[in-house]
Amino acid sequence: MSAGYCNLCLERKGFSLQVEFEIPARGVLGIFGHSGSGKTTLLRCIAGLETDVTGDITLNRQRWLSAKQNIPAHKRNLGYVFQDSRLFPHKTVAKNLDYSVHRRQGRASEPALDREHLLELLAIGHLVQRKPHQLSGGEKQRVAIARALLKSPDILLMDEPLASLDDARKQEILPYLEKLHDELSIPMLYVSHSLQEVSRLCDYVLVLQHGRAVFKGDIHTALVDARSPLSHVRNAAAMLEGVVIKHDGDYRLTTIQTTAGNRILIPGVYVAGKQIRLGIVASDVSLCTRRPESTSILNILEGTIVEWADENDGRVILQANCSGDLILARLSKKSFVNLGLKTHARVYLQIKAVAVTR
Amino acid sequence: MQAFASLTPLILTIKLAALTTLILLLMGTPIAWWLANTRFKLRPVIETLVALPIVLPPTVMGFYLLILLSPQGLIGGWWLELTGTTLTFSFTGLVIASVLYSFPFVVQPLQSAFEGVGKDYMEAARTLGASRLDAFFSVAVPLARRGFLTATVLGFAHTLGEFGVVLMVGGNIPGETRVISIAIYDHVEMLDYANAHMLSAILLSFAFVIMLTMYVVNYRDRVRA
Repeated sequence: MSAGYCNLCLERKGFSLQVEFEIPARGVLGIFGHSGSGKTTLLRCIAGLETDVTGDITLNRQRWLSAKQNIPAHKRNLGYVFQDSRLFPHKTVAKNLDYSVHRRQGRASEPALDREHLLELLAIGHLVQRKPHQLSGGEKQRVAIARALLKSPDILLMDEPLASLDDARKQEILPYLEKLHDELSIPMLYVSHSLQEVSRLCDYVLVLQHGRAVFKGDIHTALVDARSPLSHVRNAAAMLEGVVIKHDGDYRLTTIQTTAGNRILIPGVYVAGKQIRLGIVASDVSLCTRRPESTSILNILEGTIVEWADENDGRVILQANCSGDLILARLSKKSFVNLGLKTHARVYLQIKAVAVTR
Repeated sequence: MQAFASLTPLILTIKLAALTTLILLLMGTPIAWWLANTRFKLRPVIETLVALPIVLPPTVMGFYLLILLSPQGLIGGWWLELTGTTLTFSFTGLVIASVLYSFPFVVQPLQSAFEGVGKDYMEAARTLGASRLDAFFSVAVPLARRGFLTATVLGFAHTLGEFGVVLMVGGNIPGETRVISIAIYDHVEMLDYANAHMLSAILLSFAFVIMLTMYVVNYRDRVRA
């Protein structure tokens, strides 16, 4: 099910953007790419901030861009969160929020999230009387998100909302974005060059390189598929979704059951029933052809090799299917050859560390 | 009675300066906005034209204006046909001349204020549902408020002090074109130092007070922001 369709074409001196994709009805579509790949330009085209774009943008059966028309930015019912919050410096937080409420279009009676709830969700209720210069970077971004959502948009566009923040602030805001991900019923487009953010927040990924979409797919595939650039980055990692089954207080370990049914132990104590995302970095996974018996490794999954790719630096990256869970492993070319591994081979994966990304 | 009569030039001057400033703000704002945002190739040429009155001797401007505004001139002739009155040596002509003479003092502060506002906040406003005009009044104008204050004060003060252009275009008609600077010149010519002193002192204190107000307000605004 998709909410819309985009086919964009833009020519600039030394740069061209040519991308076609569907906008999911719900959930977060990550737009991943390095700087200069055209991510921000793509988002600006959808928002109507670039006027020299051609193609087709349709959202909820409304035509924003076609050969005949290019609907101006203010008539597109979207929310846009900029890298730098762009709160109006002459207005208080409350007035900044009012600004978008007063210009809400169409179905004004049914806001995506009501104001009180949004202020609470983003924990900005106590800031409303302040001016933007009295806020921290993280607070500014949260207000900017609230301001964009108070317009009751049909889609939320976020352009690297965390890029201007330091690491501590990023970790402070990510949980809020995750809450939004769970609560919002509108699609979100999330531009980022951070693998961590994408794997925590996104459900689908579009990878951009030099203005072209080189990979499109759901987040799990995008992280592990050999054709996806995400599976080749230095910190390439697979992501599993699961639910907390139980925890063991003595050893401070929690058991997670993944959607595919595998059980994985993670350090720490989590509340049973909690939905969780696990990140497994490819270089933290080692392989055996027989089930290891005496090992300190707690998580051993059985699977078959789906595909592998020589990274031409003495290492091989491979994708294994463990009864439905797709896991990425990176090992030396020498081990790969010595073990006689190939596609469809049966292997045991030892997972040294599992990071809870959510 | 004598004292009252000598105040007529003062009242005329304030009327002229206020009207000129008002016209300049209305005309100068769109021009300044356009200059601040355009990528038009001939922009430097237009900026030069706007800035010319700063460097031109007022008599040169006055001379050309006299030619243009005179009943035989392009604008003056058209005006004569339209209204049956002449522009030269009239209050209307003086307003036109002052608008041109003080043009850069209003347009330049506005332009740099608008450039300071930049595109970012305007874009944010547009994504929040504001049309260009709405965004201009709700975001650009309040953010450029210091520029508006500077433009108003400079436009007003500069018109107050004009002499050369008035002399060429307006002459010295009491109640019509005899502004304060001309009146002072007259008083000095006739060795009437008492009146020259009074008008000069008024102009000096007036100029000081409005400039001081501008700097104080701008300073407070900067500290607060």
